[in-house]
Amino acid sequence: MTRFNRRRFLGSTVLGGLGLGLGLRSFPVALASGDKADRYFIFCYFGGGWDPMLGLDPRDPAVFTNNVVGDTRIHTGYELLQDNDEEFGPDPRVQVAEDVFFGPYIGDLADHWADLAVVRGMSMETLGHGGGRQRFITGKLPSGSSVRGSSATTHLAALLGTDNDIPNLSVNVESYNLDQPAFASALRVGSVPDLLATLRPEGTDLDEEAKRQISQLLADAASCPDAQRSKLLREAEAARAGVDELLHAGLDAQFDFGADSASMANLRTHYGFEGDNTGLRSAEAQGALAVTAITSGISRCATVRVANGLDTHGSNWATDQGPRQRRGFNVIARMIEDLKNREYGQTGESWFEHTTVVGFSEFSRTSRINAQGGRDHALTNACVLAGGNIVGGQIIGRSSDVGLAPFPTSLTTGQPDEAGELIHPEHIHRALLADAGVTEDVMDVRVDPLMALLP
Amino acid sequence: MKRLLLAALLAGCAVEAPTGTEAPPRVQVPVDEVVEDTGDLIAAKELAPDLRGRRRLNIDQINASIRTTTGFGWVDDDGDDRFEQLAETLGKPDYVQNTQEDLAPSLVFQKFLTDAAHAVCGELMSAEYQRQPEQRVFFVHAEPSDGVAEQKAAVEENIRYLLLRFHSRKLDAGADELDQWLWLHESGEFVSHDARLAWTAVCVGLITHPDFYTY
Repeated sequence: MTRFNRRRFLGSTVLGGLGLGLGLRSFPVALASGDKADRYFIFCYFGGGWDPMLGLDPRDPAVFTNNVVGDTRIHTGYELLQDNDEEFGPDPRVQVAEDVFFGPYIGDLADHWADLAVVRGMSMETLGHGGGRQRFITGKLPSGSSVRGSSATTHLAALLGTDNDIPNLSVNVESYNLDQPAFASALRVGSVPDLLATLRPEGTDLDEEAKRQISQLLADAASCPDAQRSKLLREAEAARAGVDELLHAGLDAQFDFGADSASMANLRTHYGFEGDNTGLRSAEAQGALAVTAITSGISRCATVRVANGLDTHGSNWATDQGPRQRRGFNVIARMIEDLKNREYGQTGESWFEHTTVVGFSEFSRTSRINAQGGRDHALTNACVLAGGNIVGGQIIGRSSDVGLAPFPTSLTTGQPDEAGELIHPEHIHRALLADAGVTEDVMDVRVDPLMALLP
Repeated sequence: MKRLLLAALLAGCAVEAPTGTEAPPRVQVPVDEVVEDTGDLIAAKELAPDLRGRRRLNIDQINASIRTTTGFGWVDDDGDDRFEQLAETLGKPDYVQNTQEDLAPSLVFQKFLTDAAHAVCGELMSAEYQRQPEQRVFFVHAEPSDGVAEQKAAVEENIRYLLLRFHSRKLDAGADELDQWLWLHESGEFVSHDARLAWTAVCVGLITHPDFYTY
């Protein structure tokens, strides 16, 4: 396979800067040309700050009893959970392998343990929602509320997505492009219906010729020296030209999940959403959107919000935190299954073997229950990866048994190691880039990749 | 048509300061002296007072501007505001998850601004055709049926008025910058044989032009 190199990158930057792709389907081009690593990425955001003890990083309630909370500073709170759908025993954890447990709300994702790499004890270094989100997305701590780098997906799209119609697609999650070519900027929408509205031409009194004339006038205005000097006006013109290309690409049918067709009905059934407005705005529909965007060759990177409302400082921690996490994990499980069921070209391989799915949240929640019966923000985080070259069936790193603090980890073995490093999101981004053949620190995060994720 | 296009291309970049305005003459910075990809940063010695970096209006401002200039909002069949419906997609802050509006002139923004322009301009044309001359806000100096060939002076006068109304640009009669708009009207009429559609194109062009949504 021909790996992407800097010269090739710079060349594609010039071409890509002309607009958003060239109206071509990427899959046959990318696969046939062999120019780029055959890697695709889906980032799944759990909004509000999740509680890993209910999902990715649980504790044994027989060891971490309420009697020793003073010593461990860890209160599992499992006895407080109120779930209308499930009744938990004294140990509600889900065992997936010898000595490997997930929290009680891991949902159907537990069925895919063999494909999962779970990173525990990751340090976020920030407790603000926006800051934590920006930290994970960009791999850099923001400066105040201003990001200091482009999103990892923007970098990946810039490197790999020159042939895709929408190289970088983001639903309900912010994305940043500070230093990459314009084509790599995420097309950001709030929901599946809004994406459909973006891709569909609106009815108008004017015919195509009249629209071309307007476009000509605007293009002429944009070519003036005054306009050329303005970065904003250059970006505006590139985006405006991109609209025309996108509309002519006719991509909307791919995302018309409410359509009365057998294929769309099957999709709705698999992910578990209705074709009405509520269903199309659901996390499940976003999961379907991400997989569709990737497997149809429209996108290289897709980011979706699979869970929301996890900021449970009060008594809603006991009632809402777990079920909302479980819903998000179930969406990821459906995506993994969907990717596995779709053949990658005619290679005999599945799309799952070429697509890395990342589940993340901006930070975690405190190890002790607060006075309101909830949990506040905590620095120690976890995340889950699957697909592509990710080595599944492994736990990387750990959080400490006192207060769930971050713990140093060997980047090569993934084992807790006092001589190792605290894992940060940027270690993971660098591993994803390394898997795509990019060994340079193109994100300028100045850490080594977490190679334990890869073979 | 080619003559019209050439004229438009030549006139499209006209920057001659109109007389009668109080704005100081602009300092022209040659393009080849500006380093690419440095944004709006220009060496301080070259800066003129009117060469600040441009910013995009936020969605509320654009919504209000469209309603003010045309008298119509972009609404769906139920009368609900489309800008409000698309607030999340258009980057408006919800003050729960985010507090800063995304002011990038992104592809999504351009798509929906264009949709809005087509929708409100269609409404505006329908209304203007029904209104008495003194009630009109678009056809103030020209009749809806006026074309460039027969009523050039009236059309030009109306376009000058529209540029002031939509872009806050006050141009003198005969200013070069008018040519591109006259071309848009004339070529639209030439193709469609319908003055209404030609004026609709002018309306859409005015709203989707950066002078409308940036400052």
